[in-house]
Amino acid sequence: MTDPGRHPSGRRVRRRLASLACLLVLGLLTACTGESPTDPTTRETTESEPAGLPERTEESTATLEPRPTPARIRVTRVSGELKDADREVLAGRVGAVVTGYFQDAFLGGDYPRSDFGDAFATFTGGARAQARGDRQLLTNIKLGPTTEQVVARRQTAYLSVLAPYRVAAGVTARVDLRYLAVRAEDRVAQVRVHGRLLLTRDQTGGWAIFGYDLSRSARPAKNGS
Amino acid sequence: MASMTSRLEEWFGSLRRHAVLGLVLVLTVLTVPPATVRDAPISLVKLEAATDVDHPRHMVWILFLGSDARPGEDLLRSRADAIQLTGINLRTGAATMIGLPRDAYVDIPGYGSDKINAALMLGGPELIGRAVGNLVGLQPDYVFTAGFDGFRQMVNAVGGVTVDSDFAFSDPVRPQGYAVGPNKLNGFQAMIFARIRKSLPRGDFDRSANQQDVMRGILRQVRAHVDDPGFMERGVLSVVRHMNTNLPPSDLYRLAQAGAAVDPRRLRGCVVLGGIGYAGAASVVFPDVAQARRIVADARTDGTIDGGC
Repeated sequence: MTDPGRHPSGRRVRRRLASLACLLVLGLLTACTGESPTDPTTRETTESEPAGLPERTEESTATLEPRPTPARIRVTRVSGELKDADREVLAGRVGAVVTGYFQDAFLGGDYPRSDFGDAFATFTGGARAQARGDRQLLTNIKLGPTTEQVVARRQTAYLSVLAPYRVAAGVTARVDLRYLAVRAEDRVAQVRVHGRLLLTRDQTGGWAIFGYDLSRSARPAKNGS
Repeated sequence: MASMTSRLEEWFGSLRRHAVLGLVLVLTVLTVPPATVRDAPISLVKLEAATDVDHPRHMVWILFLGSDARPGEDLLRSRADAIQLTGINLRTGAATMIGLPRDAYVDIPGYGSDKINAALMLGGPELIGRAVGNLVGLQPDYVFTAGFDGFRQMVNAVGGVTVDSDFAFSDPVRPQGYAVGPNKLNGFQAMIFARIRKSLPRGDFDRSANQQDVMRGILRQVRAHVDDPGFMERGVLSVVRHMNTNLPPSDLYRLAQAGAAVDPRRLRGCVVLGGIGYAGAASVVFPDVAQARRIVADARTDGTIDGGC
């Protein structure tokens, strides 16, 4: 995480405690008022895209150590034909690519973090080059240097699959990543990155992101005081 | 007794944990500053977006063909009723359509001079691609061929199209007729709009312009629904099922996603003109080769035509 030599240890502990407390209150507030299953951003999903928001419950937030939310990856639409077993395999493989990007660009690494050079390892070569130009939006680079901890609040990817010959040829992943960036002086930022990731097979037969249409929003977290 | 002691210890332990938790909560509420806009390098709610689709090519030239194959006939061994060469700049979203009259009298490699639409019947998509390429001075990268039914179903798959007609005319498939200005058409009506020519002042040339209007309408539909879950996959599946192409589905998917980035407002259309005459007993169009080559040369590298049609 941070360089121990940079802050006195007592101050660091106080800051960490304050940050955790901040997260705690934020989690409770969220559970009571904010991101519920009636969240309009999730209500618009179709019958095959689960509208629920299982990321946090009051019970799960009542802990001093914030727990990251596991990723939820599902195949929700298939144009063509794909066996159930193949859907599961596909969800696993595409899910690994998508969550790999989430980790590399937002959730993983040692914070405070300034180096996001490896954020696009799961992109095709051309998309990687373009994404580097958009790294202000496609990574946590804006907040990274002043962030001490990142906690995932939601990681979903609902997959629309093109499978004309019973083999997946292309996938649109509708992604929604929400996380808290715990920063210095008790500040917590809520960040949301959502939109579409486009995937197809690369030359090795694995999946890679060849396109993106993502929006990012960030705001200070309400802490209830 | 030991059991009761154990339960008491458990109860006190639980009380201690909850008390600590409650204390942290109270302290937090008291000490955490209000959520006002501070000097944080983020705004209150700032929404930003980034979009890109990677495709190996910077410029793609696609020859779209409408085959006049009747039910039961080979799609690729019939005459081409619609011939549209389209250059797409996948980086900028600019594109140019170049319509060729189907009766254009050209050299067909290996067969001598004939109407260009015969090239599909004589040698399939590859031959007509070469004939068009020789005419305009640029070989297309891909050739897509659709029949009547496939075209109709593809238009229906995107929810119909709105075309902006320059002329009013009537046809039994559309009781209210085709009006000057916007017309919302289903697949069958769009097919008639793209095929009819006798009601148009410049016949085949205006029909070619109408075909471009249909393509523009399809693109607008795609752009309007590109965010709808499953829309692009359904659309590409429809193309796979109703168009002939030698592209594998994964390449087609990637091309379609890249093509969906084209801005309809930056999709220009030109029709290659020419004089009408006869080759033997056949009525033909002698295409303006210089015009065709000038337009393509203009759009070759960036998909835009600066010099007009």
